[in-house]
Amino acid sequence: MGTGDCSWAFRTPTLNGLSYRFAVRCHDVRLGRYVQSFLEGLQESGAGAAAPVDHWYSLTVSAEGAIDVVRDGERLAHAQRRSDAVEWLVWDINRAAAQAGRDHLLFHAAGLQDGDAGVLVPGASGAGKSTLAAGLVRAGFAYLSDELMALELDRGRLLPYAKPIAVKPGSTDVLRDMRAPAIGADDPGADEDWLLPVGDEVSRPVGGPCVPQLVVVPRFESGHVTQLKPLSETEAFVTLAVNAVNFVEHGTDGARALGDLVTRCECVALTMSDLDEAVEAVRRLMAGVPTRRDLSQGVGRAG
Amino acid sequence: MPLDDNLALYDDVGHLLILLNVAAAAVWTCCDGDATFEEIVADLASSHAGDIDEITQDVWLTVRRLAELGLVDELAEDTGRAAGPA
Repeated sequence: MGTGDCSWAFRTPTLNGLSYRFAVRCHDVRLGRYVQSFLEGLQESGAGAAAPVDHWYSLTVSAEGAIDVVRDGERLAHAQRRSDAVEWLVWDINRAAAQAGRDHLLFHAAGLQDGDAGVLVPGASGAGKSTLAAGLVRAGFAYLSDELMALELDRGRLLPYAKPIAVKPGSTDVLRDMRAPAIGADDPGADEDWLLPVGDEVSRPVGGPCVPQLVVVPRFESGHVTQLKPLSETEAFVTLAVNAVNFVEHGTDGARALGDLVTRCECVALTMSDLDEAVEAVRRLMAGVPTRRDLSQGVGRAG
Repeated sequence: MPLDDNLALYDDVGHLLILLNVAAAAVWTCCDGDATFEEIVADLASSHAGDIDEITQDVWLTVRRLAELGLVDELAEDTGRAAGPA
């Protein structure tokens, strides 16, 4: 227990985002449990569960119901709603995890795991990474991340950063079954971004370190036929380099790791408008089912 | 590192990732510090179909571009030798 823990009614277990170890505490037990439900995927297991906490997030609720979010004594945000407080928390945790994980090659990418094999889904914001990740989790893939993936330079494994999945309003309809009912004005409205919890508590298992086997570069295009197109090693390399957060820091080692990745993995571009078709296309790729005919023609019909 | 028929090079000093297509990669590979420009042209002409004048111009332009990128040293005009990798 950290300094002053005896004065807090609630604290989370030790949580870990790419070696950024932290915990959240607050006086309001209900608020604490609500926040913890979103961070379940980052919960340490085994020996890590007893590891010391390096950073504390403290949530205090004012008489008016506003929530102050404080990290190590520094106020980060003054939130009007609990959902906003969680968003601020996740935003700061993302920032800190990206900093803590810099020994690895980091990507703007989602990551999933099927059996022992990893799937890397690089792409800029709006490409469909998070939606595809949520769809694959719903289909039974284990979750690694929807936004920030770490690649070990020495062992070539993807490392999980199982933050809650960030869903944009445009994807709400296709993921409606995964969303908990909103409770009044305290939760995001239909036209707002929302967070999808992951972890065993919600039967959305988090995966572990795994060697990637497949790279899927998604592109959402409304009304487009779901289509898989093989990427050359060069195309995949450039795409991953563009989406690497800290490529320059790792220089030649990073370039070599990227080269190994694209030569080892099957790399495809996925144009999609129908999530179910996109998920099925990825699922079949992992099962080794599709032929070149499938990859050169549309695998489904839009609309 | 090889990627398909291309070559990826990373310049740690300038923090540049450079992708050489198959033709540029072939020229770069020949720039070993020993071969003269004429020897490089002859070597490539023997393995690639094309007009010798065009190959000569392509090699010249490629070597100049590689020098601009710092991947090879400037052509040593007095010895007629294409200096090796930078």
